[in-house]
Amino acid sequence: MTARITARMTTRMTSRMAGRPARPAHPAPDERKIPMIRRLRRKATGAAAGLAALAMAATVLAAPAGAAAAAGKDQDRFNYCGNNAMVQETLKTGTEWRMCWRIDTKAGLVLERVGYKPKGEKYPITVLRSAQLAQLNVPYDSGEHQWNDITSYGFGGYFSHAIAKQECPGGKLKGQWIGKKEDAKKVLCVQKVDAGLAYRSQEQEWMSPDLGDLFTANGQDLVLYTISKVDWYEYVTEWRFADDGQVSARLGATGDLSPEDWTTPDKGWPIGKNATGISGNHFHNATWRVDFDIDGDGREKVEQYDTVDTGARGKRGEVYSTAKTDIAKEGSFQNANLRWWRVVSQSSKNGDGHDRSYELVQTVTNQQYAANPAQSPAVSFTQAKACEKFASFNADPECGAQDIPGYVNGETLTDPVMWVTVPFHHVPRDEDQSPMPIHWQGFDLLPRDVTAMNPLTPKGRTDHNGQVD
Amino acid sequence: MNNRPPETGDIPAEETPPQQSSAAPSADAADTADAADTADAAVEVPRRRRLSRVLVGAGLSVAAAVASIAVAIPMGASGESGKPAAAGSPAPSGTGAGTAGAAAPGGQASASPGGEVPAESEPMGPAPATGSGRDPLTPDEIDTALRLAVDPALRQSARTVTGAAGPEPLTVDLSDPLPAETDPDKAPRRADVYFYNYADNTLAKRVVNLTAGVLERSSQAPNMQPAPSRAETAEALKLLVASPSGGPLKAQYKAATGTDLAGPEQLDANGSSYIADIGDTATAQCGAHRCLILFVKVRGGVYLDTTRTVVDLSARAVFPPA
Repeated sequence: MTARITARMTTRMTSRMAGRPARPAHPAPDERKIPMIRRLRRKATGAAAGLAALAMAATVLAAPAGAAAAAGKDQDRFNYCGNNAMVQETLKTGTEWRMCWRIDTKAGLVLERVGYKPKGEKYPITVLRSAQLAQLNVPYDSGEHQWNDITSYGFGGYFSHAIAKQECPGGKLKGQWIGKKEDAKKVLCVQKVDAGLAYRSQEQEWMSPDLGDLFTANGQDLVLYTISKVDWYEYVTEWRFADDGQVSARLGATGDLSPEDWTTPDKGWPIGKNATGISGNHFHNATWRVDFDIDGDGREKVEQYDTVDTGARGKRGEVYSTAKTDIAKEGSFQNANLRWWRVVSQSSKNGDGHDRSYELVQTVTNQQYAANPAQSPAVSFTQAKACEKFASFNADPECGAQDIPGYVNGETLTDPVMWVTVPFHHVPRDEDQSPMPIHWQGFDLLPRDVTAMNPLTPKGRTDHNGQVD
Repeated sequence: MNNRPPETGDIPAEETPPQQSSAAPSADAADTADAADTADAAVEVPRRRRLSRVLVGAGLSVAAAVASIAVAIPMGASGESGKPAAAGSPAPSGTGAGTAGAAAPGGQASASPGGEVPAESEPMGPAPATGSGRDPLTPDEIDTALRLAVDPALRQSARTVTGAAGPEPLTVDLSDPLPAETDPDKAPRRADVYFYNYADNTLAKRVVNLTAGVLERSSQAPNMQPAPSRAETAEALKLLVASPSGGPLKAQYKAATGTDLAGPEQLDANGSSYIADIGDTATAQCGAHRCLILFVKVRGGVYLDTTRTVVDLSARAVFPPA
């Protein structure tokens, strides 16, 4: 493998030095006589063989001590639910995602045992033990109304809507049985959608008009969503799994504005003629519960990173310094400039010998509803407990505490659960009628050192790992 | 090398010619580089342009070949006619009836918005008796859980929302494995069953081990108010309509329909469990009591303004806006 890459690179360098394009623009005469379809097959076989060889090489490099013994377990890692509850899809870039799904009466869509197998990895890598919405609190600025859509209604049961085939173009509809026979309600849409540019790198001699090799690919996301109609609002619970390992959670809100919250100009916005129909401002405070299970272990640690201005000036700019704070015990935290958190495996390393981890990425940080202590922190980390399911109004007689401030009671974190709150202050506008254009709120979980390189790295770039001399 | 076909099977972009030419070969005509060359020879185009067109033609052919292979993959979408739909081309529209984006009877959009390929609805077959691992509870498992959850003591002492013997069933969902049960393949399947007990205003939780067929754990606590069942919402609507405080509701109904409200069956309601905030002094008992806020609609019609009224199911009382 290595030898082949080197030989190809040498050829490329030589031809470029001679001032010729890397490859003739026209196919060679003998190639042109082969029907297009046969040529394509031959190419595909070659590519597949190359990938297989690459995968084997990567596995040998990545295999930690004792991996062989664990191989059987790794292969079985995803046999956690029957076919009907399993989503297993391979994206066009070669990354495979697998997970179990079900509808919980309260939380709505629950995903469990979520993992992915990048094309260069031999075994799937688990990421999440479970993930679900944990609260949706909707207080109106008037102080007249405040709803908790997960714990006072629920996103499952009769609030969970069947999805029409036309709503899920190009996808698959999966269902849940609601009766004894073949009575099923199709509530989950599974789609593979274009994710736009995944990466691009083109080699170029700046002093020559010729362009060198172009490495580029368009990405694809696996998207799962359900619809829950709670009175006039319709909510979309969406999970998006990218071919590069990123996981994105989003809540979409559409349907219609409240027909019962007309208010004064300081607490709303006129959406009727002139100064009439002042529709009330309100928040959607969404909290998700994410239980990590990085590479099947479940034991993780939590780290906070802060980048600060040292006040020192380098030769050409300010000097910044990034430092880690270990979050050893349960806690609730706020965003700050240049702050982020990650959940780090205590046992699993990638091929570079780095601890596998996932980083929380929150982009909107100025919409906080400070009056709700359970949901005002940007993120909380608590030791995993099965009975601690909801951010507030947990309502479980077996559980000592019933909200996040109660869960955070000083326990040491060995199996952390991450509670992410993403608030959104909705000031209505004329365009919100009707139906209301969907508005989204959510967060990303970014793989940090899960694979030793970009899991989509093309063949010509596999040697670019680390400082390239 | 600069323009190798993508490994992903994506169709390369169509290259826009620098100027319009009516004799430009269509993508279909440009099946091979030779054909493209011949077609190009008919019109006088600069050499440079011909070259780029050859590349476009080749790219499209490769893409078409990839698309025809991809159809064999289950995820490959196919139109309702059963013909494979080439990626990027408009799909055959669903039924042809209705307009994209228009409302249709029965709540089903009758045409694919934007002419997209409708989803494939996965066949499910009959529900199995039991699930495995982290499968959702089957209808049979839900029945079993409800049956095993109500022990004789609870059946005797508890009361439903209407005052009948037994607890008011709320929800049945799959339990999480216990902390020691790290292998979900081997963990027993359990159900969390929740009831409300109107006899003492407690929330009762029963954990049923479905694998062993036994009631495993029981607990109950006051001041816990999960979402109401449909039976509770229906009872709250009955109380609201029958209450002297239902006057404004009746006036709204008459204003909306022109007729008098005869009974709760003319209304549609959704319910939210209600726990009094510190700002609520009028119904501060809600939380200890089982209270609901109703969202009431004329059946098939408009919403009536009822969200400032509280129905206390524990006291069987209606509290109009203070």
